[in-house]
Amino acid sequence: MSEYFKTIGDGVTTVLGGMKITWEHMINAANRKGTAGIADENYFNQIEGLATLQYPSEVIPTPSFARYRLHNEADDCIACDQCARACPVNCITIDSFKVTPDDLEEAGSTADGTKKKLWLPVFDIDMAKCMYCGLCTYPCPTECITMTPVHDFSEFDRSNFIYYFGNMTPEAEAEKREKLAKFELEKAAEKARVAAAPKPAVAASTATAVAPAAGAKMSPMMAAKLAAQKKAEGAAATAATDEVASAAAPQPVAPAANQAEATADAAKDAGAAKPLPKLSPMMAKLAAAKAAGGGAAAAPVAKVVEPTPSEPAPLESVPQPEAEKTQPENQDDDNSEPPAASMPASGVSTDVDVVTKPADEVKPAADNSAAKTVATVPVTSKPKPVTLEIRKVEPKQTEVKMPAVRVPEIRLPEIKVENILSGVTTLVTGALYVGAGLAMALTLGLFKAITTPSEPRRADTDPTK
Amino acid sequence: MQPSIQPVWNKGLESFSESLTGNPVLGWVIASAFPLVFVALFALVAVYAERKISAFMQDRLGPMEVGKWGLLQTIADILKLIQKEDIVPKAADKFIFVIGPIIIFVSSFAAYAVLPFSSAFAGSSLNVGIFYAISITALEVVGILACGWGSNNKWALYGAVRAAAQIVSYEIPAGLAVLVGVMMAGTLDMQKIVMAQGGDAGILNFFVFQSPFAWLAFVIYFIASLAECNRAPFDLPEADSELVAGFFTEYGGMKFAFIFLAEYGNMFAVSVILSVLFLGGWQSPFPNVGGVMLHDWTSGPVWGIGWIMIKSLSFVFVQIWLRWTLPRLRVDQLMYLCWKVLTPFAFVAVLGTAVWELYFRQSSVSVLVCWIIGGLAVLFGFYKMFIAKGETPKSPKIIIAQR
Ligand code: SF4
Ligand code: SF4
Repeated sequence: MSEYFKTIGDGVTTVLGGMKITWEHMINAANRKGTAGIADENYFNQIEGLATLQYPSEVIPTPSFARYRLHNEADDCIACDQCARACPVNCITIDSFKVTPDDLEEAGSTADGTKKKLWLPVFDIDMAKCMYCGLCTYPCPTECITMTPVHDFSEFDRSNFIYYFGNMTPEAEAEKREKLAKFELEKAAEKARVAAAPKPAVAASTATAVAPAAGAKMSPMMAAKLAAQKKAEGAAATAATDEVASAAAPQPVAPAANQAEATADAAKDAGAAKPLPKLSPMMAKLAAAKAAGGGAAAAPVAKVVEPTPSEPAPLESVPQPEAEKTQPENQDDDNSEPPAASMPASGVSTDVDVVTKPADEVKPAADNSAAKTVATVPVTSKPKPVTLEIRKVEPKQTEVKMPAVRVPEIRLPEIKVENILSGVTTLVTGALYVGAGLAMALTLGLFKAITTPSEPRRADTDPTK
Repeated sequence: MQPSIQPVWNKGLESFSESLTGNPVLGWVIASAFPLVFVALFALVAVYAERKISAFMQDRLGPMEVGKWGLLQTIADILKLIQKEDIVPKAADKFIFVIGPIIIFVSSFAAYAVLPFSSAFAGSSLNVGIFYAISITALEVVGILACGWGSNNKWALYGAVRAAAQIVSYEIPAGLAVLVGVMMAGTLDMQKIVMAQGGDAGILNFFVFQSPFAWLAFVIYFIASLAECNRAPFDLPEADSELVAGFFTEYGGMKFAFIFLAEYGNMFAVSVILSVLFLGGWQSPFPNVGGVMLHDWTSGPVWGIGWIMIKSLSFVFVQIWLRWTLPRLRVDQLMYLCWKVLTPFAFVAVLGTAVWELYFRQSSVSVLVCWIIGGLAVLFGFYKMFIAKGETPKSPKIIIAQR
């Protein structure tokens, strides 16, 4: 029996104790815990009061070292590619090409005074791939790629996570590329002329031997690269022809000793083309230097290019089926002229064509044009007039899209007949319910009116007395 | 004391409605529309209040987006519910499924016919008022069973069966506790029960201060009424964590809204009954002291509405408070509490009241004793709630201070 009363007593006291706790919390609702962040001294003292923060308008400040959305201040970026190489998941895509000396002024310098020597048409960060490790931010020499405190940037479409930081319009890019190509051609021609003067020799046989090898060596790597990279951009073939030719062409002129190395470099160049804008020009130069310094081997270049200065370089865009076009040409004229002409010309453009293209663009050309045209090269040994073709870069399809504030879509509900009908039916149902309630009350009133005659109240309970 | 209003409350609905329009039938419609509108508005406010209070008790903010401090949140909810498609499950027993919410709402709303909102407004001064009120409210269980059975859903059926068991069980202590008030007033007419608690002594005339057994009955009725409204800690029929939503699992849109409305209507109805039976209904709590006629000054039809609202709404607040404080009872605990605790104590209260009424009520000494006991009980409660340190968990402040 005492157990019974004890249980009841416990029940009462614990209920009261519980009510006390909730009452205290309710009274404390006048206070808010505030938005002191983890870095704040007061962080652990925020005990009393409402814990909720109204998120979009109230946020706990993110620490300064927090790693959230990346931002690249493109105007401060020198396109050095170090961030892309640091990234463990390859989510940064950089495309850049040299600034011609007369444009250096226009290219300007970064906020810390570094001169910019590369244009930056493409700087894409795929934030869907990014794992927020922040490794890309450390090597940046100009500190332009940074982690921002913005962490709330979800999207409905994954492709919206690719942020475009490149700071050139497609038109400007095309113009500058053209200019660069022209400049490089002129420069190469100049250099070739200087180099050619002392050494008129032919090393056709070496070239014959090596050229196919180069073609063979390159294609597996390219194929691998192709598998890795699925995106093909619009003007693939046009660019590709040049590219392959440029990659493949130096080989014929290189000395046998350097051949393997040069080929490897060139292949690497072409294969790893995309993310290494800075490196590729250097390698290309290296290859070119080797070729030039290779004594007798340099001859064909000299021979071929010699006529160049006399001829104005025609500005024409290389049509897509260039490979096919050049090929028949080669066969027609047999061993005499144009193949040699076109080949070294694009060979020269190795140096020119600093610019990198996704490897898969290179691939088709490697298959058909490069191998074949190169094969025809050795036959030539006579100096021939050269047609210099300057590639015209087609404007890129990608728009320059700044990753500024994205306004979320607002989706209005569809207005459908069924919705309206169901609304009407529910209203009618509601009205019926209300009617039922009223009817009940009415019936009650009637019932009362019928059944209760006015009766005298009991005198003894009438408090009014 | 209130001679002027006597004709009104004596004749109830007819005189009130006739005085409104001169036409009895139209007057009844108007008179019954008042509580309907009131219930709807009350539910609107109470749902908001419940969400806010629960939020504050859990250190949250509650609704904040719609309107200032989320004041328009419930209106937005109602608009949403109205727009919703009216779905009747394929496997449901359509007639029973549809009639269920109607029975629930009507039975909860019908109780308002006899609730005395003021000396001048009671739908009907039925001579069996309180009896009618508790029996028509108990009809709700039929609607709940209809909902649960008609839904053809195991959760709904479980919920409905639990509700039936719970409501029928708790009718007994609730009925006995009501009997205490009825014995003290000597009438079943709710208007007259309120009249019996008026007088110069103000608050001291309320039944709860007139007898120690009335305290007991008061507490018992409050607990039992929680169970009848299916409010936590007696929300087994809905038991969100076990039964999805219990007997109204399959309901949506307006049907759900009506079940919801009935719940809040019921909450208010039992609070009114509680204040009528034990806390003097629409009577002013102020006494007349000497020449300062505070009681008379604060009495009258409009004052009455204010008093009964204050009293009932504070009970509604306690209901909300309890809901966000206590965990749900187990089924066996529920039955233990009803049959082994509340019912015996209700019998004690009834017997004690009978003796008290016969021998002690008239003597001022005994009433004094009653006040002392009651006052001690109140003090004990306050001590436990606001002063006592004990088994209550340590606040995080202490834990952090020790770090
Ligand atoms: S944060 Fe890491 S994963 Fe993301 S872009 Fe930078 S290096 Fe790559
Ligand atoms: S490391 Fe910095 S400067 Fe270099 S490419 Fe990346 S963002 Fe530009």
